Formats: sequence, C-alpha cells, structure tokens
Amino acid sequence: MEKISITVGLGDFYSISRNGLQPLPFVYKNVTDLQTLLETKNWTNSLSLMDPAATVALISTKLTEVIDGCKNGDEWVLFYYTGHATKYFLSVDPLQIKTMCVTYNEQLTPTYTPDIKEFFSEDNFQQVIASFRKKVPNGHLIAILDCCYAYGLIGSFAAQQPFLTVIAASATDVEAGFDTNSFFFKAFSQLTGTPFDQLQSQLDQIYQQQGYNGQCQVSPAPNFKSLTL
Amino acid sequence: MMTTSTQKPNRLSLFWKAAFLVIPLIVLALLYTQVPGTETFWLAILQLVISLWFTILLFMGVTVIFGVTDFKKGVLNFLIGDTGTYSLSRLQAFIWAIVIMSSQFCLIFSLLFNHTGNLFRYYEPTFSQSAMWLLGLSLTSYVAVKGVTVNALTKNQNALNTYKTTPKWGDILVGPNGLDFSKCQMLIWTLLAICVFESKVYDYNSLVIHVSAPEYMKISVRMYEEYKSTVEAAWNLPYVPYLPWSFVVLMGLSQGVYVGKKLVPSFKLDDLKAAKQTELENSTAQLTLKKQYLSSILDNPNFSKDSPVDKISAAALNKQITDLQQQIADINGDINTINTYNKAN
Repeated sequence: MEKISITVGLGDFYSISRNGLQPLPFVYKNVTDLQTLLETKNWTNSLSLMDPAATVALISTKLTEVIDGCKNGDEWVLFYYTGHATKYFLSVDPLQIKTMCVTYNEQLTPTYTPDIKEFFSEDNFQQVIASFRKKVPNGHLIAILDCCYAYGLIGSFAAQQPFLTVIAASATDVEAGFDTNSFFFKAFSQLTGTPFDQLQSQLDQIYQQQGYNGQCQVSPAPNFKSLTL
Repeated sequence: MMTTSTQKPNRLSLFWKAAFLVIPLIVLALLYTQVPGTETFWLAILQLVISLWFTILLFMGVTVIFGVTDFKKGVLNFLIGDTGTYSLSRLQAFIWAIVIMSSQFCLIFSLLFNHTGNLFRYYEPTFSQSAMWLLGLSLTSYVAVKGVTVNALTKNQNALNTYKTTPKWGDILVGPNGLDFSKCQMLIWTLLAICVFESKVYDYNSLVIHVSAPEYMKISVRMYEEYKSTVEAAWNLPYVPYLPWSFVVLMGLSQGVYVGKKLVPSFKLDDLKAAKQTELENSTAQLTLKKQYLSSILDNPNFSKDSPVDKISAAALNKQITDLQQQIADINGDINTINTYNKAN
C-alpha cells in the first residue's frame, strides 16, 4: 500500500497592503515538519506547492496527477493545506455562501476578490473526492486543513464518505514567526500515532490544557477510523 | 589558566616619575634663594606649588594604601569613565577637588610659616560659597555623565563592543562625531577658572604669611560679596579665595550644555541604532530560517521531471530562495554599515 502526500503552504503571499491578509510565517515550518513526520511513517512526499506555486490550477492538477497515478486502488493520499481560508458570498442567500482556501492569485486586493473559481474552494474539493472515489475505490483520502473556516470546508461534505478523513483546524496564529508552528500543528504533530477516531478528543484535550480558544473538527473515514497515519 | 609575568620593573620610568615630582620644587626653591627682595612673591608661589603637589601626593598615597601602586592605574584611574576612556567630567571634578583642597593646604603652610610666628592654631577650614558651588557643579556633572553613560550602555548593549581598554588623553576632547565643541569650551573655561581661582589663592596667602593673628582673624572670614551694597572700607585686603558669581554661572551653563548634549542626541541615536540593528538581525535570522525551510522543501527526492506541476513548483521555490538570498545580503549590508559606524565612532 503506497502512501502519497501533497502539501500546500501560503505564507508570504499574504500582505496587508497587497490583499488585506496577514502573512503567515509558520507555514514553512508546518510543511517541512509534516513532511519529516510523514517520512518516518513511510509516506512519499511530493514536491510541495508553496506561495506562487499554490494556485488553484496547480493544486488541482497536482491532486489529479497523484490520484491518476494510483494504480493499485488502495493507496492513501494525504492533502495538507496551511494558509488562509475565507467565506465567499455568491449572493445574500445563506445557502450560497461557499468556503474557499485563499490560494495564490495576483488579482486579489483588499477591495476586489476574483471569482471563486480562481481559488481552491469546496467545489474543487468535491471534484477531488469524486475523482478519488472513482480512481482509488479502496484507498484512503486524508485532508488536513490548517486554516480559518476549515470547519466550514468540511461542513459542506454532507454525505460522509467511507474513505475520507478530514482533520480541520479553524485557527490561525498570525503572530507566529518562521521559527514556530501553528497551534493546531503543534498539537497535531504530537498525535500522529493516535488512531483517527481518537484524534478529536485528544486534540480537544491539548487545546484545553493549553488554554487555546480554537476549534478543531476531525471526521474520520469509517473504513479507517482505527488506523493511524 | 594562570599566567606569570616576566617583566622587570621599569627603573628609568620610576626615576623620571620621581624627577617629575621633585624637579619643580627644586627649581622654585632655587629661584626663591637666588632672587632677593621678592621673597614674598616666590614664597607664595612655592607654597602654591607645594600645596598642589602635596594634594596630588596625598591622592597617590591613598591609592598606594589601597593596593594600586602603578601611577597610571592609580591616580589617573580616577579619570577613566564607564566607557574606558578618559572622562572630561571626571577630570574636571578631580582638578577642582585638588585645587580646592590644595588651597586649604596652602593656607595651612602660610599659617605654619607665618613671619610673626606659628598661627596654625587659628586655622579653620573656610571656603567661599563660589568654591563650594564650583566643586558641587563639577561633582554633579560627573554624576550626571555617569548616569547618562550607564543608561546608554544599558539600552545599547552593542556599545559595550566599543569599550576601550587603553585610554588616551585625546578622549577628553573627542566625542562620538570627532572633536566635541561642548567639551572643548568647558575645558577652556575650567582652565581659565582655575587660573583665576589660583590667583586668588596666591593673593590671599601672600598676605596671610605676613599678618599677625588679629589681622588674620579679620581676613579669615572676609568673604567676597559681589552684590553687597555697603561700601567696603578695606578694599585692598584679599578675600577668602573665590570666583566671581558671573564666572560660577558661566561654569554652570558650560557644564549644563556639556551634560545636555551628552544626554539628548547620543542617547537617541544610540537607542535608534541598537533598535535598528536588533530588528535587522532578527529579520536576517527569520529570513535565513525561511530559506532553510524552502531549501529543504526543494530538496525532495520525489521531484518528478515529468511532472509539469513539479517543474513550475521547483522554479517558484528556486526564485523564492534566490530572492531571500538577496534580501539577506541587503540586510547584512545594512548591519555592516551600522557596525562600521559604531566602530568608527
């Protein structure tokens, strides 16, 4: 069984003056630390998509490339995103509010947000899920979303997939430096040996112990809930 | 690790030090004996010089008693400030202390060798108000400068790198930006004030050495009152050594400018330099970390040359790393500029 990871990080793309978003210096350490952790667990890390390479087109292409490359049908694919996410209002109708990752886009300014198709949104993720279901029927797709509104991203996955594990942290630590991780990552990296179905309670416990006011949502894949990374 | 010194005492140097102390006294004594009719003048001058030398020797004696026997490490050590350089404020406080103390020794000598007999029993330490003000001003200036220096060193730790272990006389007139006008003018005013004060000491003692006890009792309390409205009867009698109040005010202003200048600009500039340097060093450290992370990400054995995405991603990572190298080089250039400025000053 092959295990492949795709990691995406955006830190310096964000700028208050350019797009009104706080830079996130910790994303670089998050990505390198996660890859190191995964290596010890026999994962194959694909080349990360960082800052200017973290566009919706490249992320989608990379996911397609990796999923298409799964030949056995039982591969594990891990998608990790660390950066900003936000809500996108298609209309005033609450049902028309989408969640998206603020992926690299030169046109984004504090006063103008390009069309949602220009970002990696929950719609793109639904396509990834559909593609994975088709190409890797016995596989395990793990999505770790270390960003704001991550809970919103998974909230729209109404129909629970038996192969999909989602670990979402609705928190950012904009004050963190290059020499540290996000709070979620600090907590999560302690639990890589924990079964997926126990991650939620363990993460909650760490958050509580550290007095951290963030929310974390873990949705383990029913087929793999007693397994670990 | 212990070290042993193989240096022998420099006897020639010690000889010259001794000669430096004794020769002026011999020359004055010869002049006194070889020029008859001017005994009073030369005796007063001799007393003045002896009392000055006596005071300096007293200071040296104190340093010897407390275990520091070397001349430079002894008396001259009083002049070394907190930054390891000779300090003008310390020099000034030291000189005024010597001058005012020596004026008392001079008075003691005049009473001891009074022509009408030994009048030492009438001696009481008497100081003019202006003399006390001068000593007070110089000591206040010394304390203020020390406070400013220590405060600046506390706020700018990098300044400790410029601490000098070999003080030079040039330190007295040199500031952070070369020759310092405020120091220069204060030194000149101080020297002028000392000359004027010593002339009063001379004037006073050249009379004391001749007068009888009742006359001494009168002039021993004869204080100069610049703004006294009453007519002075014995206008030609000397006063207890003093400086005119206008001169004292001038000295006060001069010292105020000196301390004020030391306080305001150098404090802010040093603070700014230290803050900027720390900020730049932090930026460099953070950018270096980021570069390491990106290099680590790029150094991926699973990079696929067949993958268009990987090619674009690798190119982007390479560009980011190159840009970071340039940023780090630019910041290091700024840090070097600040360091060069600190060393040059």
